[in-house]
Amino acid sequence: MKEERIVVTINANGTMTAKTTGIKGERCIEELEALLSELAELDEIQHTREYKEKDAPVKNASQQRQRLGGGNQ
Amino acid sequence: MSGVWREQSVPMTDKECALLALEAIGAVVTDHSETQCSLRIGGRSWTMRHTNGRYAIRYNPRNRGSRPSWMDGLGEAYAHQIALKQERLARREQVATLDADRRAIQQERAAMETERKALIETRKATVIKQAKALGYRVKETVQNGEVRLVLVKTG
Repeated sequence: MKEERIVVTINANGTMTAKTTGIKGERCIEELEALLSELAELDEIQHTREYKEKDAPVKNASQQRQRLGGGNQ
Repeated sequence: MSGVWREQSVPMTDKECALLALEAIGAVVTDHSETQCSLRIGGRSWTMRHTNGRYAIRYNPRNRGSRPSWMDGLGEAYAHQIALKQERLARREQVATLDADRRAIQQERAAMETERKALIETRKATVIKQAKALGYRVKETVQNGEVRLVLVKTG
């Protein structure tokens, strides 16, 4: 079974880090944005090999989640 | 692994230090209230708002080149101001002879600590809420003041 995992760490000084595994392509950025964009500016996401792989095609486009978007200024 | 993101600078929780840091990088504060601050820097007007436990000046990070260069300077200036404030409070506490003075300093330091903890709690609660809305299971652990949230979605 396919597993998508995100580990979010909130350090003692309040800074955050996030690492994703099992999420391919643009969905990696979309998931991080949906999760964290309310809290911080998601600049400089480092992409790894898996990011460059294409995700399996989505059967029903209407089931795709709407992206929440980034900062507001 | 498909993506790694690290927050660039320490979130600004202390308003006094945030305003001093803005001044240090050449910003002109034109107006400020308890939760909002209008300023001009780099020939543009910006707004700093207190939201989700921190003071933030937001921009669109997906628009390449939109991160203003002074933002890096702001993070450094804020960290510097926090260090200066801690030193200032320590020095004042050393020379304080009256109990009332010492209590005031301790309250100021406690307020900074409260802001830091509130930021962490706000961030944790927001991530958990968003993760659940996105269909993730969440496992939380805390070690040495560091909160680790493991989000898993299977399908």
